[in-house]
This record gives sequence, C-alpha cells and structure tokens, in this order.
Amino acid sequence: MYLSSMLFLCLLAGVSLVSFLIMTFKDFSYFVEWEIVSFNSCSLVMTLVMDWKSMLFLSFVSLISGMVLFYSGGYMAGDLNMDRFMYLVLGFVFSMGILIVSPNLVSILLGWDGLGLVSYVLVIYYQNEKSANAGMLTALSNRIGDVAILISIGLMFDMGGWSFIFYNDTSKISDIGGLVILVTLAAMTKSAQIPFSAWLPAAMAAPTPVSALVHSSTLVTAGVYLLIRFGPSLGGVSKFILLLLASLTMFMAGLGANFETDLKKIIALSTLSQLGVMMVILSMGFYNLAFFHLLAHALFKALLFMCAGSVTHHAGGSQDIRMMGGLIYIMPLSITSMNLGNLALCGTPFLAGFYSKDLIIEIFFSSFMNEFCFWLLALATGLTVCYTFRLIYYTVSGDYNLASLGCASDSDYIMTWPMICLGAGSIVGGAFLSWLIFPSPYMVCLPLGLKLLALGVSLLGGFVGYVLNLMTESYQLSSLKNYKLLNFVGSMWFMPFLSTYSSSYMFLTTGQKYHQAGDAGWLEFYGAQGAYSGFMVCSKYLQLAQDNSVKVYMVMFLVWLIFITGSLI
Amino acid sequence: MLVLKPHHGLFLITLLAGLLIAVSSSSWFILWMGLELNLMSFIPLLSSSENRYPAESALKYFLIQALGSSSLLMASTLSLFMSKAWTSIVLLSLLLKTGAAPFHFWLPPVMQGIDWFQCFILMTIQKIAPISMMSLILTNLSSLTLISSSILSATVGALGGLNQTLTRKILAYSSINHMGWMLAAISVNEQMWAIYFMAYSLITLSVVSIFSSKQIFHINQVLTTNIYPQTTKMMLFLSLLSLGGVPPLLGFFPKMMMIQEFMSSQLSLLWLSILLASALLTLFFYLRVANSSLMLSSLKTKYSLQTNLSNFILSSSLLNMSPALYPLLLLISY
Repeated sequence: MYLSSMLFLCLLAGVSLVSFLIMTFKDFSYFVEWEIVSFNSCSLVMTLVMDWKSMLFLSFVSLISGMVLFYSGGYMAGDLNMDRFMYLVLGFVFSMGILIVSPNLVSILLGWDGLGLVSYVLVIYYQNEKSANAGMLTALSNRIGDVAILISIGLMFDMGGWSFIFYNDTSKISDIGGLVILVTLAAMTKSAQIPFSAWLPAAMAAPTPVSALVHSSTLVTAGVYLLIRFGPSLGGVSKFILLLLASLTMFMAGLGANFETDLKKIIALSTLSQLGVMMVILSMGFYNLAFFHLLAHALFKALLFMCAGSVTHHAGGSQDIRMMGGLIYIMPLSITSMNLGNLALCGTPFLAGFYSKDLIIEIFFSSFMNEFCFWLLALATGLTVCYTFRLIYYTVSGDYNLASLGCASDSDYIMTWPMICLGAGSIVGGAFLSWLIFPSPYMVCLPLGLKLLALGVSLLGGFVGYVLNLMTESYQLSSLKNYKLLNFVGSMWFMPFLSTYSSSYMFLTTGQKYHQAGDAGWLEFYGAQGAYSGFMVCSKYLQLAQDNSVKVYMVMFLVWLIFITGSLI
Repeated sequence: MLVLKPHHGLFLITLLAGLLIAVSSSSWFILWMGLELNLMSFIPLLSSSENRYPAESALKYFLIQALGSSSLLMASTLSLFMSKAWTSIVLLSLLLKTGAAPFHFWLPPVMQGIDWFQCFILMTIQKIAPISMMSLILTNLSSLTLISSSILSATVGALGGLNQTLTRKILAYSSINHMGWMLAAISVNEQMWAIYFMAYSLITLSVVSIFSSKQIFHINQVLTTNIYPQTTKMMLFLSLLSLGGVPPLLGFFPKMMMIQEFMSSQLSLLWLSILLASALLTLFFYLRVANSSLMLSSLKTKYSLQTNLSNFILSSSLLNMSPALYPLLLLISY
C-alpha cells in the first residue's frame, strides 16, 4: 500500500507541477464553478481554482506526502493497523487538496474540518492517555478556528456568495465588521500562533510520519495558506495584531526549543518559529514571500522529521536527545540528511531555507515596522541557529549515549530513499522556487549594519548554542539558579497549562458542582430514584390488595356494583 | 412448547363460536348466551389432569366469569325498569370479564396457573367479546366509568408489574395496562380499538410464542435457560420493546395513532398523559426482563438442547419489524 500511495501521489505531484509550469509560463488559470443551490440571491457554489499558487502547493503537498507515505512503509512496518494509518494519511492529503484548490469559504471549511478530524484521529493513533489528551487539545484548539470560519460564513451571507477571491480587490470583505478578524483568528488557530500554540508540540504524540506531513505542508500551513489567499483583504488592526503575535510566537518557540530535550518537540518548536516567520511577513503584506517560505520550509521540515523518525526508530524508541549523541558514526545517512535539513532551516547560504528566509529578513528590515518586532525577529533568527547547533551537539557530534547494546543503522532503504529525495529538494528547492515564483528579483537596500545583522546573530547563535551545551564531568548546571525563569521559558510560556487547565478549570468545577447538586443529588433523590421508590411503594400496596382470596375479589366487585348503581338511581 | 390435545380442537371451535355469537348478537340474552358458551368451552381448555394449578386457575376463572355473567343477566332484565343504572351494571360486569381495573385482581393469579398457550387466549381472544359489547353501551353516564376504569387499568398495570419477577404475571399486568389503552380506544371509535387490539395480539403472540417455546416462567430463566441462538434473544427483546411501544417497532404505531386520535377528537389530555406515563413504566419492567440477559451476561450452557426457533415463532417475532415495510404503502397509494 505504501508503494502504490507513493506512486499515485508522485504522479499527482508531477501532473500538478507540469500544470504549474504551463500556467506560469503562459500566465493563465482555470476556475471551475458548480452552482449547487441559489436562494435569496445568494449562490452556494462548489468552486475549484487552479492557478499557479494552488498547483504549486498541490504538487509540493503530494510530493511530500508521497515521500512520507513511502517512508511510513518502513517506519510503521509491523503495525497492526497499517492500512488504516495509510488511509487516514491519504484522507489528510485529500482534505488538504480540497483546501488548496478552493477559493470559496464553504468549500474551504470542508477541507478545514477534514484536516481537523483526521489530525485528531492521527494524533490519538497510539492509544494511550497522553495521546488522547494531546488529540483533544489539538481538536479543540482547531475547533476554535472552525467556529471562526463558520461565523465568517454566516457573515459572508451578506455578500451574496462565499467566493472571497472575487472580493479581494474591493473593500467588501473589510467592510463587513469582524470578518477579517475571524478569518485571522481561524488561521492563527490552525497555524498555532500564540494563544493557541500549545497543541502543536502536543500533537507530537502522533506517529512521526504524521508529524512530518502535518508540520511541513499540510495542517499547520493551512492557516498561512488561507491568509495568503485572503491576503489583499487583510488590513488594519488584525494585521497589526497578527504581526505582534506572530513575532512573539517566533521568539517564544525559538527560545523554548533551546530548553527542550525531546527531539520531535524541538523540531515542532522550530516549525512554530518558522510559522511565526511566515505570519510576520504575511502581516507585512508580502504574501508571495510567505508562500515561498511555506514551500521551502515544507521541504526541509519533512526531511527533518523523517530523519528524527529514523533516529528514534533505530535508537530504541527514545526521543530524548540526551540519550543520543555521536550518531554520525552509526547512521551516517540519516544524520547527514538531518544536518542538511538543520542547515537549511538556519538559512545556510544556497540551501533551501536561505533564499526564502534571507529574503524575508531583509525585506522585513527594509520595510516599515516597529522596533519591538524588529528585535524579536533578529533574536529569533539567532535562536534558530542556536537550538540547531545545540541539537547538532547533542545528536551528531557529542559523545555516544545510546544503550550499550544497540543496532542503530541506516539499513532500511524504505526509510532512507524518501530522505534522499527530500534532501535533494532541500538543497536545490529554494533556488528553483525563487526562480519560478519571482520573475524579477526583489530590490533590497539596506545599510551595512542591518545587512550583516542576520549573519551576525546567526553566527553568534550558532556559537552560543554549541558551546553553552558542551558538557563534561564536574561541570555545574548554572542555569538551575534561575529555575523559575527557565521553567517559564522552557514550557512555552506556560501555554500548555493555560490552554488546558485554565480554560477547563472553571467549567469542570462548575460542572462538578452541578453534577453533585443535580444529577447526583437532588434530581437523583427526587427524580429518578425518588420516582422509582415511590412507584415501588405503590406497587407494594397493590400487591397487598392482590394477595386475597377470590371471595374478596367478588365482594369487591359487588361493592362497586352497588355503590355505582346506587349513585345512579 | 405447545401441546394440543384432541379435545382442544373441539373446545377452541366452540370458544370461537361463543365469541362470534356474542359479538353478532342483537339482544342481551343472546349475548349472555354467547359469553357463557365461550366461558364453558374455555374451562376445559384450561384444566389439565396432570397438574393441579390449571384446575385452580380454571375454578377461579369460572367463579369470576360466572359472577360477571350473572350480573350481566341481571342487568338485561333490570333494563326494563331501571333506565339509567342498568348500563352501568352491564359495563361493570363486562369490565370484570375483561379484567380491567378495579376488577383486575383475578387476572394475575389465573394466568399464573396456566400454560402460555392458554395465557395467550386469555389475554387476547377472551377480550374481544366483552370489549366490543362495551362499545355498544357507551353513553355519557357510562363513559365516566369507562374513563376511570381506563385510567385505573393503565396505572395498576404499570405499577403492579414493577414488583413482579414471574413472566406470566408481568404479561398479565401488561395486559391490564393495555386494557387501559383499549378502553380509551373504544371511546375514540371501534376501528381504533380493532387496530390497537390487532397490534396488541400480534405482539403478545410474538412474546408468548418465544416464552412458550423456551418454557420461561421466571425472569431469571431469561438469563440462565437455553436461549442459545442469539437470534432468539434478539427476537424476544425486539418483541418486548415492541410491546412497550418503542418507535420503529409495531407496538409504537397504535399508540401513536391513539395520541393523534386523542388530539383530533378533543379527549382529555390528562387521560392521555396518564396512559403515556404508564406505558413508560411498563417499558421499564419489560426492559428489566431483557436487560440482564441482553446487556450484562451472555450465559451459554453447553449441555442445553440446542433447539432452533420454528419458522412460526421467527415470523411472529418479525411481525414487530413490519413498520419497516410501511414505506411500501406508497407503492399502493400512488
């Protein structure tokens, strides 16, 4: 099944890539619309848009998911429900496909809800309590976005149609109060921006191939893609709030990744940080740049997760980076790919991340914004390199920390081939994309200091990240002196607690009180059990009347007869 | 386990003849005669030489029915000079004969002593004649008695059944409860009563045939006896749910029609709500029969005789699913 899925998806990727190329060079797009029902001059239509954006994104999604499905043939080998897993992942890709090709809010909701549902089912794939909690957190966080989109659909009823792409050039969308804010809210939940960030690392409970797909090109990018599509209509306060929250997300995730020891969670936090970057540049109004970074990021993030999966798969199932180290000697191919992904993530020149990230940073520096966000971006850029080099120290170059008896190796070709493919993508993808998406280069004009700032913070971050984590005997863990601060920073600014306990505490306690007073209290006593015991008492008295001889029954009849007849005479 | 003896055929024929005479009679005397014939041929059906319980039941049944018949005969002569009261006497005696509350006391003890086949006749066929006679004497005066009896029957049937652990008594109280519905049905119109009675008879047939084939007399036996094929279990519970009036099944539809008739013919809603509440209570004790064996435990005794259901029992149980075919009525009507 993994082979056929891979072939099918790669075929889809090829077809959509070719149509992307044709559409880019000939400059046209297809728009298919099917009117389902029309009432009150408001038409409900199923719309498919095939322009260069959707085709390119579709080709990336199907390429990456094809690779991931092939990879899961090795990763999930021996799993009892492997077919179910494959179908679920295919359902995921299908939902994402619907979301990509629909410029209509109603049909977007189909894909959007499909993503939410399948992501829940995939997060709880391994059936334990942790997965169940993570899945519930994921589903409910995403549910906020679903509700926002549903309300937006209600609001868009005003416009006589839900194909927002028609109205992007006019001011109609921003005229409807709250619509833009709601759509932004929906995108922020799906892309895990700051108040809703907690679900993203929690969703790491899913099998690694799912994480590779979710965090590269499908679930979390859906929000960014929605805003890219909605782009021209964004404006005003929602743009500003988005800028602020996205910068904070970027910084928070970058910082948090430096204190995390779970391999997958580090990569998840780096995804969060990169989503912040996309959102930042999106809120500045550069939609194509955000789209560019989205695609380039998809390539190397899928690669990173695949390598991480390979490492955990072979390193005895543990995801703790303190249990790894020196892996380059044991599994050179996986670790080389991981390094490649990591370097691309840092924006090392001429790898995939460089073209998009460097461009984003420079465009950001050269445009009009506030200083707070400026420093957050600069710091986050440095922090990305910092946690990357920390990861490199822990897994690649440090001391061998695995179990003394192990069989970690790169021997599974089903897992290594997709890595090699995506590794090649991570090397050349950025350059190709920049040539294809931008017909003419951006003009960036910066003073020398700003131009070198990105390079400077990256070098500094890399140095700090590597050196601060060096560790041998008799070193002291001086970070323990600031334990409270560390706890705050390392736990995503308490967001997992805030979005689980704080939102449920009041409702659960109130519910418990109501339950105690009502369902398990008065209502039970005077309701169900009271009725039951009352009826049983009545039944007992009836039984008392019943336990008599036939003579008594007959006398009773005669008494009734005389009584009723007598009253009538 | 249906055991028919040669004389059963004869007495069944005379029983039905008595019923027909009573239903089609034009004078109270002929009616009395038909009822007597019916009674006299039911007594030999009840009694058995191998067991003393049926004999006791037959005696009780005879005494009660004789009292009812004699007061009916008395009323028919009184009709000459007591123009108002005699209908009440007739009504009361007919209520006694059908076993409607407050004259229901004889029904559970009589049913407890006889076999399932006789129980079935007692619960269904023996009710046709008195109830159809009742519909003839409904006046403003007697209908008050009828309403009271209907409400009492529904309540007593529902409450009395709560304490029972014997299946025959449960069905007896269920019968009393349904009497309440049928008395309500005859005050709507006769057709309504016919529909209700037909549905009730079919459902009772399906319940009784399973109880009879597995010889279940106590609700413990539902759990522990050899209800081996799972289909039997399913059929039993389907029938019980249908008896309680659970929506997709046959038992629901006469009740729904009753509700509609009550609404359209401006009858008392209090009456209807008491009937409905009592139906809920009966559903509770039907479910109690089913619940332990359906939900909690599936005991399979390996040494039990593995008897499959006969086609008759299977088809009578499947009758409860007949509402599934109702959409086919569209084919006829269009």
